Amino acid sequence: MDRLADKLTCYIISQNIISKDDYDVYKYGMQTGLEMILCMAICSIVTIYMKSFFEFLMVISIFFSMRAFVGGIHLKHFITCLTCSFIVINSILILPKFYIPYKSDSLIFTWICLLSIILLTPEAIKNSVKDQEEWIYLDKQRKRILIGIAILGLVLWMFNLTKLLSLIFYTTMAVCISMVLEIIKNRCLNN
Amino acid sequence: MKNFKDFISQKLRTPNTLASIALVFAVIGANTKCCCIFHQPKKPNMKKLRKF
Repeated sequence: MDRLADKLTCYIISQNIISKDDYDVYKYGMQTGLEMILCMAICSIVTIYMKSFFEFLMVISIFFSMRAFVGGIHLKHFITCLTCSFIVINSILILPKFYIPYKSDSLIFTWICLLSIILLTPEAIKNSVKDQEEWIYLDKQRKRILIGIAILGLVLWMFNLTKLLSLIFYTTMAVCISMVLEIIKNRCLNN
Repeated sequence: MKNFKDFISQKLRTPNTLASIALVFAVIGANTKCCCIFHQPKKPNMKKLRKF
């Protein structure tokens, strides 16, 4: 994927669309774009086959919005990342088919997971945030997202949408586990 | 169908589209902690794309 992104970026530079100085930025955008599109395409095909595309959209929007401002574990190679993303997203979608917790339990555990995420975030992202401005911006966005998810959980609880509520619970739990793994990885690397 | 294929292949060949897509993802990357999936390429200096 790195090589493909490099070739495509060189191509748009050769066409004089962007300057050579912007190579790094465009290559980064190209690589993350290609990786995300491929991952989403594979997951979408599987979820359409599983007849749970709507649930997939809900899980993915919550998962992405949380990970964007909370962080979590990162892997070195794209292929391991693709496999891991695929397994995690599909596990979240499959779990409610085996076990749906009581709606009150789902709501309480979702809130516990959100609280754990708030507490774990400073430790999880301390190595990757470069300056104070970035920290303040991420903190503001994170609070908005987490409050939004807590309210969404409450709305689903009020309307007795137990399956969707359980999906939110499993998603927040996955993000929480991902953060714990990132903290463990950072500690192992530091030692 | 042929027109559609021509349209798609033409759009894909246009460097502007590629550049725009790359730029959108670069902006997302510059304004978020991570780019949503588990693999994170090393971020270049993207201060000019930041919203803050």
